[in-house]
Amino acid sequence: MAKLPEEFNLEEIDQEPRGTTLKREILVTLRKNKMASFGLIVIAILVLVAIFAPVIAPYKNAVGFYPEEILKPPSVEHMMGTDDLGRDIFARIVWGSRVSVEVGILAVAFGLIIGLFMGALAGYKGGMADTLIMRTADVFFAFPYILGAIAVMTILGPGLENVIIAIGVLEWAYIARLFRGSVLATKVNDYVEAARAIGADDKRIIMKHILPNAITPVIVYSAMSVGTAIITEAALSFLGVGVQPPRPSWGWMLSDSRAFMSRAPWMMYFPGLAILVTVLGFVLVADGLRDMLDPRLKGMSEHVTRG
Amino acid sequence: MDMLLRIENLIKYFPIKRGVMFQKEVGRVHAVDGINFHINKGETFGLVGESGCGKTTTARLILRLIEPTSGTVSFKGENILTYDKNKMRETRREIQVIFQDPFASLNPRMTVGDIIGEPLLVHEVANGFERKKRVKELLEMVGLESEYARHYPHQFSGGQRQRIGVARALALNPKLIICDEPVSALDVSVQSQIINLLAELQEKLGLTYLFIAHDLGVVRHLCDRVGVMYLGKIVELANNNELYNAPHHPYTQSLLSAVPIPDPKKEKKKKRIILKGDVPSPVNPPSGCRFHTRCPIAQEICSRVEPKLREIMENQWTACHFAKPNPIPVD
Repeated sequence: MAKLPEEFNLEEIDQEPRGTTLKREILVTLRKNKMASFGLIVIAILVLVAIFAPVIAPYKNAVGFYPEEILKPPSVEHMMGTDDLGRDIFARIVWGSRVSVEVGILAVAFGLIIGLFMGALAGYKGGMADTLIMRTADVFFAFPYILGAIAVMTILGPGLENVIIAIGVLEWAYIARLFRGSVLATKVNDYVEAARAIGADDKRIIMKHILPNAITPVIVYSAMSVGTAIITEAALSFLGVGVQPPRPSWGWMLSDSRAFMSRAPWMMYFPGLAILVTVLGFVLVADGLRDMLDPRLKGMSEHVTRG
Repeated sequence: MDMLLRIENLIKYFPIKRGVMFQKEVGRVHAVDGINFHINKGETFGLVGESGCGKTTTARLILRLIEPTSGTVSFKGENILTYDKNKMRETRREIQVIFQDPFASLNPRMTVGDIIGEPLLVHEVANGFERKKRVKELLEMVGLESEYARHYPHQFSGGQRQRIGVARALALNPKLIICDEPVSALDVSVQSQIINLLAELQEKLGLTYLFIAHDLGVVRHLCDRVGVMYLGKIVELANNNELYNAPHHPYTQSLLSAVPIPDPKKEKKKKRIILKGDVPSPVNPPSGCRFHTRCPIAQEICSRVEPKLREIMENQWTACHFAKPNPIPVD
């Protein structure tokens, strides 16, 4: 009978394994880290607000023209005041969250689909595929991010779907580069060789052996880039090439507030605050994930406990 | 005796490339340079040598994890290098591998049950309940408890992990198992447990082993025949007893002199042969006999003419111009 390791106690054997599955690891990670928990709460609130927007604020308050309500400061009736068309800013923030959530999640998801596929292909196959994909990605890195987004928007034309496509198209290169490196480091492990030796095909090796062990940095990056995508949408809308009015978007609201900065500063404060808090939420979660999932940091802490 | 595996003139050169986009070959690593040996059914063939001499490359070539530059690998009389993807997949069921580092060879994100059951899944030999049953059986076969199937590799010690690796190799009832230094990453006390397990399994299941090691002491315990490698070539190949009692190659003799004797009095008396210098680079291997740069009995001819591996005695093959029992004089 082989020796039991030192940390191995019998109670643990009876319990459910304290797993290393990715899902479990992420949940445990987020619970332990206070800042990340805060970020998670912010994200949860944002998603809930987006889903239950019709319950929280009627849509008709967020659009239209109300001559007698123009530029009212925050009050009991309008808790965040009204804008230059008499629209309730609170209602617009609530409905605008839908745009932010949609853009943030869908744009990154779009980038992930292309980026993961390309990154896996480049990292796993190497050779010509690698050269071709990574040099193409280099072309995307050559553009400043926001300039690239504007360029794509000019080609596609304005609209929410196109904002998502534009951000996703830029995002894939970053994800592909990150994932490629991670795949390169993972594929040299003996367990990949072992899988090949038992006759597993490429698809199985990538999905079961490489992906779960290489995805960590991409998860961290994705959480971060949801925040970036939201800012980019706001920036594009601010510049007038993003989501089209009258659909409420935080970027548009900021853009509208420019003319009334001194007369009605609340028009600027609240959408700005909404963007700030939302992005902060995603960044905090990403930060927490990195601290706990980074294999290097993990190796360090293990080293310390082993003495 | 039946021949199970036969290696003929196996060569693997790794190209060294320079340049970013348009790479050109600037040199070659002569990892495995024309080796010949065979393994009989049911025996254990040991392959020993210093690190970097091409043992592991040989193992990976036999498993077709990398393709050789030239040569043949015949399994059950057929050259597996000519097999297409599907035929090779079928053959993989019969040739399995145990890796050196039990911490790197198990996927940390899979449960032990999934790891051991993966070969069964890939080859569609058992599904659902049947697979679970087989995994249990395998765990018990290697001396682990069947409940361990739900646990993750990080919850086990090195020895336990290596047992899991053995169970995975056994899953498909292979004929040949390539053990790539299966004990060199383990504590000495655990080493013997794993070696005994391997010996036990061989007897029970009629396995054939290719046992790779850098430690002749371990090999002596387990192997029937031994091949000694130096810089990509086999320098001596003999039955276990003959090799240990009367090494005919100076390199083998010096390796043997480094094996500690578990008797302090004898150990003190023993003269160690310490080779001068390092192993030469496999990029530019020495001319003639590859060992001549470090050989204590090298003559002028050694740097010019490469000695062939020839049968000195029955079942003892040596590649040395001056082959004789214990060629290096020890006073």
